[in-house]
Amino acid sequence: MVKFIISVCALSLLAACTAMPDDEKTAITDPYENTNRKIFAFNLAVDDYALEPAANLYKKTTPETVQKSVRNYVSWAGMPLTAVNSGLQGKFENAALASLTFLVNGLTFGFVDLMENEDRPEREDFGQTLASASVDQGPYLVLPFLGSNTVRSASGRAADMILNPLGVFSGKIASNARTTLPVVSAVSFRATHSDTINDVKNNSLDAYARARSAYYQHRDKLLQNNLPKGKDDKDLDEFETFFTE
Amino acid sequence: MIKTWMNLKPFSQNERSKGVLMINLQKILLNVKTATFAAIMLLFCEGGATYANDRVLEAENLVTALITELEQTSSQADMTGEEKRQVFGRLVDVYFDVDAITRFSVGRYWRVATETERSKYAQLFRFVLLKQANEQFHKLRDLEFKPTTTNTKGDKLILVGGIIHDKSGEFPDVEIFWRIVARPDMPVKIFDIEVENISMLKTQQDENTTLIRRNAGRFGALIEALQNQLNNQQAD
Repeated sequence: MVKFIISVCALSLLAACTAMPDDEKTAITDPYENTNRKIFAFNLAVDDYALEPAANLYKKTTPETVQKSVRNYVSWAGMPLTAVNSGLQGKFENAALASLTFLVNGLTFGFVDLMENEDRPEREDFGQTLASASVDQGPYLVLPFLGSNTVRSASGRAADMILNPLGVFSGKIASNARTTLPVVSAVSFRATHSDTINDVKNNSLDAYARARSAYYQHRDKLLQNNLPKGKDDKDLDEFETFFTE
Repeated sequence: MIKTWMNLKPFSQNERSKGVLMINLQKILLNVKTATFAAIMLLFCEGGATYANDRVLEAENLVTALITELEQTSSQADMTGEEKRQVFGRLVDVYFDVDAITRFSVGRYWRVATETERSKYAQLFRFVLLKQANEQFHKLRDLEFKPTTTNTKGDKLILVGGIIHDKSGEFPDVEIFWRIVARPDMPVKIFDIEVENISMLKTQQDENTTLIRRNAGRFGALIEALQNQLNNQQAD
């Protein structure tokens, strides 16, 4: 327990050390661009030789209903983390909804979404928890195999691995489930977003810049409810400013 | 307003001197002016609200009309490549604010570009837009748009939101926002499409500006890269 608290605190501090002014919270900061580009090239090679063929095979050989079940399972497995992080952020309704979804869908081990037509809990991770605590996002980082991150979201990912309540389950089945989940999740994600990812890879002038932009925009939207008020409209301001010039 | 009128006092016996009468007349005139001003402002505000509502409706109709045209076009399976190009060329010109999109897509570097560079880039960029539309054409089949919410952003932008639903069931529902520009006295046009919270135009801008920045701010580098990309794709 002490180890756990120390780890979470250390990771939070690591993210906090990268503090910068509030008005730069959603701006792209990429001081390690050259290194990031090399890792991005490595990740593209991994995608070319492993992930894309696996995703294509998965799409071709697996019926759509099974693919949907896998997506449900991946989503279900993330519910305990959402519940914990929602609780840490004081979003108790979301925490309760995530716990309920986890329990109800747990009857089918997450493969069937029994709460499909109900309100969905909003996904929350420790990176978002850090954002809600006003820890700044820090520079952009591309991690091998994991792809786009900021220092804050990367710290959040590491903390999520420690925080995940599913970690308390022991035994071979639980251990296998934990090991295979990232692989299954990656292949399922790659298959679902095949067209978009291939478009970035094949039709970009600069795939790295496009992937980075998409990551920041997606992350900004996820963080809209976590950042202090007034910090979440940067993109809209940019569009509005364009027409006032 | 009501309070101001209530403050008007009736003439009292002691106030029948000329001076007092003048003061009261001034008061009355002032209140009449205030009332008239308020009435005019009210009319303007009402007119403003109606105008804004009209623009919102216009924006929603624009998206619906585009979707309908795309559906009709995608149902014509026997169209040749050239016919498709012509259709998309017309759709882009009618529904999209190509000029604003072109300028936004290179951010601040538009200002440093020469007239020749701007013109060349605009030409290439339009070509790329049409090419991408043509390539995505087959994906439009079996897709339907379900409008959800419409919000105004500032006085010139309107966000028309909705869900893209794949009738074949192959893809999960996708949230989409159409960013519409509504300049005064001009028809509304599509400025940007945001899919799953990712703006197509913002992404394009980030990509283009990164490329120019990495080439020491040379706008010509973007034109060369676009030209090379098009040449390579045509050679494939």
